[in-house]
Amino acid sequence: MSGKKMSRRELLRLGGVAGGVLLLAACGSSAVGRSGQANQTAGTSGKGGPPPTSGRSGAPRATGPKVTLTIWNSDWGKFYNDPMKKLGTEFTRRAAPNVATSWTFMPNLSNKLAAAIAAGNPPDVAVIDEGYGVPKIARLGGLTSLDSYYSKDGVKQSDFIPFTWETVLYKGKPYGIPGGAGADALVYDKDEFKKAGIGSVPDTPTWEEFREWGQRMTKRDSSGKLVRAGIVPDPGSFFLFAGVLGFQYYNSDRTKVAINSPESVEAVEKWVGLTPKGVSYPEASNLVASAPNVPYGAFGQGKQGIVWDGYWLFLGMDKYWPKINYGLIRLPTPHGKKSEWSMYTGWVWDPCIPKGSKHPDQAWEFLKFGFWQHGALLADTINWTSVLSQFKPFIERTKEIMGPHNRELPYLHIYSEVQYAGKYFVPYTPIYDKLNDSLNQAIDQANRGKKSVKQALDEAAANLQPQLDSVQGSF
Amino acid sequence: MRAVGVPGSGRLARREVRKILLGLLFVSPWLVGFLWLQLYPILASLYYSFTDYQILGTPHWTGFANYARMFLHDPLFWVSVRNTLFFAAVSVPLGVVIGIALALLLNARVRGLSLYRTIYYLPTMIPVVPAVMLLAWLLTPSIGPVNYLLGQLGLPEPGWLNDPAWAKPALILLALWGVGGSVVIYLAGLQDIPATLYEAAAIDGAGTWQRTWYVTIPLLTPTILFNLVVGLIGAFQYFAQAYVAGAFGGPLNSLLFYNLYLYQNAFQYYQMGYASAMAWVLLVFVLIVTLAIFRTTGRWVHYAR
Repeated sequence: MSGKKMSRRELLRLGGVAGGVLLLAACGSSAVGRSGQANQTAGTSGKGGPPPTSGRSGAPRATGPKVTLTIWNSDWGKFYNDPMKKLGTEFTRRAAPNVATSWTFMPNLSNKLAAAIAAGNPPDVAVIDEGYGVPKIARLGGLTSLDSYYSKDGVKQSDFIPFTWETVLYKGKPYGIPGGAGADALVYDKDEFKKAGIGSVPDTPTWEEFREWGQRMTKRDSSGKLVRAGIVPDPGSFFLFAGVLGFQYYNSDRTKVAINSPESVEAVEKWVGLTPKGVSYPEASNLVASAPNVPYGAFGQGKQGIVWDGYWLFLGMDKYWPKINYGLIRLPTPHGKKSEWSMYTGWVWDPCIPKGSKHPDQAWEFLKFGFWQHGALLADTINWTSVLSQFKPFIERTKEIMGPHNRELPYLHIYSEVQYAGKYFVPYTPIYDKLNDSLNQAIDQANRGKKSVKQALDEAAANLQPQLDSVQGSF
Repeated sequence: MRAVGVPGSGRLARREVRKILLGLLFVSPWLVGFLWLQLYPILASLYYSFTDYQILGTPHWTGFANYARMFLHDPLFWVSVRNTLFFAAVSVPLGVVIGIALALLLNARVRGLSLYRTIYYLPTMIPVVPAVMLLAWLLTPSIGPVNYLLGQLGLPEPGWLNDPAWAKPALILLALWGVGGSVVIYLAGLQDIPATLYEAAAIDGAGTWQRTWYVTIPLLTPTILFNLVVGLIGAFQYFAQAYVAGAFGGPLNSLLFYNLYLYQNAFQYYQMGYASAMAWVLLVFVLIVTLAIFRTTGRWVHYAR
């Protein structure tokens, strides 16, 4: 037994962890399982830097004793969780025979991760997809800097989709590696669009066209009951449209909350204004909530006219709605022009190595293998690679997975283009989670007519600004 | 010369000390667990409530800043207080009334009594998460069985968990569905009432209603007190059902209960200091409410013996 004495700080920290456990106990006993959202994706057709390697595994074969890497992954539901495990088996098979992987999928991963790091028992790898988890936890000293690993193996910023790089940085240094990147496209039922008198559908609609389609796709039955809502502008989807609407989260140096700037107010007003005329948001929302709880339930049952999602939607469509003649187009932009594609919002989940990982070197080898050298492997996990040079093999593999007659196949290029062109992402600050929740609440209030958009955003900004002031200089 | 065997002598004292040490040794698993895993975290959380503590960093002393923010600058804190008080004020009294009513019915001598008791107790056996998911399905707008029935009766069909006005009542329904646990306790209380009192009341000409009102209810008050206090504490700590049912606090934060907001601060926003302060405010509040109830027991709680 080590004779090392526990310092007062360590003692306090341990107490903190125990206190956290106590708080959890106070909050109730059940380990709640709320199925997480699906993942994300998008991309272009093979542009970008040279391949990080020649395409063959450059990783040295692991030697020494057998090691099992513990990996915590956000819970996306069994549908999407199971394919992730393939990354681990391929890593073991092709690069590191002595290194096995053990996956645990959990909702609200970053919540549990902090407690695990504080307790000194974190996983070797954490795949976080919530609230810009990498800078959030890196700021508190909970993640291993990957700077030296990047230098050693020649991994460069230019290897990745530009915006994804920003999400792994804390104070200019990488603490994670860009994982599955995402962007959404609009999904519509071609036959129903025709019935509603919507003839030509441009690849990139204007905002006005988008709103108009929502109106036309809204339908009531003979008794006046709403049977289809064209568009339901739910608060949680707003961020996907924030870029094209010109919404500002902060000012340019992130010292001021700007969600109530004139541009932001106008953006949210446009979003809230998507609820079709003559329909209340609760009415539309209730209709969508009445659909079966399966992927695209409301769309599949014809209760929602237009929805949006990432390229992985073919899985759910193929399984649950094989007969719908659906099409895909890009999200709307102000004027429907190609030059505006850069306004699309991108998003990404990032694997990282928590401080206290028992096998950091093997963990890095795994990250390097799955998310850099062989980024195309993500196709098997139904997540779009962030590695630019892997786009081409990724798309080839995705086509194989989809099959030659898949309904989504003709539209795959949309995701590819959007992913590559999109430059907007939600800027990080330590109050990101709080800001996101406050924004959702403000939109909910405006949607339900409880407050005007400006009033709701003003109140949210007033509450957030002191919190942003209190963390200045720490990010 | 030392007196041997005399009470209070050194040898006996040593024996006593040895007994005490042995006793402590036997209770040490609990004692160590209590001191290390309960008392220390409780005291640590009190300390953290006066700090800015973000789980992984070092706590920084901020005095009463967390408490000031809570009471003066955090509107969501008050939203969570209002939601929790509403839930407690409606669900607990309803639970008491319905619990007693069911216990009285299940105390009657009818055929198949065990089956009825089992049926009422069964819902308490269902874990929280599936229970909430089942409730969400039953109350699904438009197509849920409950709204279907309401529609057939020509009644309005609420949005339930999707509607800020009906979200809390939906969870209150769920709480009442699980009233079987307290029914069992009431049943035990009913069977503890001496039969002689009923006989005496009957001799005095008391009818069923009078026997219930003047004998049963007064002598059930100790059980009511127990269920009331336990129910209130449970209501103030309401968490898991709201966490499952109302993502992000539900529509218009109608399901943002106190402990849910506490959890968000602790584990989502990493504001463990603020969450600790919230936990202590809850503790003090529950203590005050419980003491206040106990102060009133002299007026309404009656013991048979």
